[in-house]
Amino acid sequence: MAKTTSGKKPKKTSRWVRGGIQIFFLALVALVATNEALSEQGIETLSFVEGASLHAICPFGGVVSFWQLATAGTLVKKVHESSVALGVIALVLSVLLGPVICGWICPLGSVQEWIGSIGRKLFKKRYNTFVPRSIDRPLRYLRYVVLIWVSYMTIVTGKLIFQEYDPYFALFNFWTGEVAIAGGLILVLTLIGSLFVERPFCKYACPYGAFQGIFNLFRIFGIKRVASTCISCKACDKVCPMNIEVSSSGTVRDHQCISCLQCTSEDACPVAATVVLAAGSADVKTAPAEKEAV
Amino acid sequence: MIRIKTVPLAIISIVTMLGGIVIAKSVGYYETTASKDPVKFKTGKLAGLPNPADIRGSYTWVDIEKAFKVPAAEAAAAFSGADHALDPASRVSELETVYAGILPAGLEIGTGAVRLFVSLYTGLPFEAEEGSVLPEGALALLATRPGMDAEALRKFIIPGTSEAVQGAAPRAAAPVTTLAPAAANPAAASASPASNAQTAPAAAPSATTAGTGSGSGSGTGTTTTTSGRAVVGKTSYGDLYDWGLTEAQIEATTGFKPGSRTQSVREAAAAAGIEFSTFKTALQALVDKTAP
Repeated sequence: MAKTTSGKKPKKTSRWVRGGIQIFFLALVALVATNEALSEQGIETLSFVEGASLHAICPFGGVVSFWQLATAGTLVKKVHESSVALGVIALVLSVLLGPVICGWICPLGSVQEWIGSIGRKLFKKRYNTFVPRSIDRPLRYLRYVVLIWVSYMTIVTGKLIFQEYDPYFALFNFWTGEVAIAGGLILVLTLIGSLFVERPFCKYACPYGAFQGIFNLFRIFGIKRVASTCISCKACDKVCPMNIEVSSSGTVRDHQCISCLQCTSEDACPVAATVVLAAGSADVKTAPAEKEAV
Repeated sequence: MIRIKTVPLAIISIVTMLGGIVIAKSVGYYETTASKDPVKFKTGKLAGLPNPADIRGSYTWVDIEKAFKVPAAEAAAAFSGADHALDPASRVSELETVYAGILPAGLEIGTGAVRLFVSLYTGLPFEAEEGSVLPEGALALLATRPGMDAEALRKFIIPGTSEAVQGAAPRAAAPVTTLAPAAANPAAASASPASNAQTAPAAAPSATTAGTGSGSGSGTGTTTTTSGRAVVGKTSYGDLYDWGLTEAQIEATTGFKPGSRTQSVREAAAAAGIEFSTFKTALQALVDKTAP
């Protein structure tokens, strides 16, 4: 976290805005999941979320159903039209802004991030640096293996095969008795791992994160560093939850970026308009007056 | 360079999400619950009739009544446990809780049992798994159906329980308040050879044997093989290849291109819109013929 010479940098508006949205979506998803579970037990539920289920509001269901929808015109069991619609909406957002679903909306990502804040307090600068780079980098591609496996198995079986391993499902259903042992175990490992590594499931295993991450390669609005005003303090690198070296990038094309904007000049970067979310060329001459005092 | 800051990004994200949902709803593509209309048979004389195989755990007994004309109250009562009365508005998946731990090992009364029950009740074909059982109440209700063959029901009795269907004859003679199979599904009745003869059971043959999509019966419910290799619902393409069948032979028998080795033939058939039972016997014959 960058600091001014006068001491601690005050909490930025951007952080509160994103945190508020994360809390909103976590509460919404928890409400839907709880409502569904109570409904199955015959307990009266809230009418405004009646009928919705965890599967119905998961855009990944739309992704894994794509093949069956295209070839047979039907959806994978437990997947509904709403999943497809949300999948398309998420796709539009990803093409435009990158994986904002991961950085702003996904409740499992948010929970990992919040547990990570405890780890950050416990381990200070060592936090999120425990995995050696030689192991960490290849492991980052494991999630594509998971994505391919989940997609293939879903196509072959016509079932939502990932549910049994899904920590997202386990997070909201751990109290219902419907969680498979593997899913529960992966959730526990994810939560414990979050104390040492920021967003471990997102980094190494999330198939939907892998799918979203592909759009980082050609998204319209990307994270851009204006080299002419950059002071190479590496504050952006230090704050990045996904360990991306923003300070050596022009435009961040790393497949792991989650568009959280923590690296930008609205948050960690101490220089105004130097690390930004933007479309077009970042090679803009900035007047020295725009630089913030460091 | 066009720049987006945090607050506009938040607004864009939320507006896109909510706006997208509104658009999807306005064009009628935002269903958050599964349709309670089961898929229909696509071929043969049963074309257009609901397929019991598509009954899911999320169906309530009322949903089943709407789709199959099986009275919800009677069906729920028939499946109720000794100390667990089922509400007609409850989901059939609740059966897993009702019968958990009280059945002999390897037996289960769940959604599959409901599919079988509906099949027997209506005369619509369904391929029951080997070892399928039904609760006494359900068997007793089925036994009251006109023309039901009590012998055919015996194979579904839970081992160790009293044989409810032994009282089938007197119950069958009692007044029946439910719809007759022919009334419930006229095409199913007319499609079943057995049901055409008044002295023959109406539902049992097609249900216990799974019948066929085109309405022809196919023997007994227990798979008979001469090779010891039974083609059942879980049989995968890999099993068939291991038993010596070729891709071309399988395609010629099933009528559609085989899937991957791990895919079950029944799932592939369902994906192709074809009832497994329409080619199961022929496939079994081919397996028997190929066996060393």
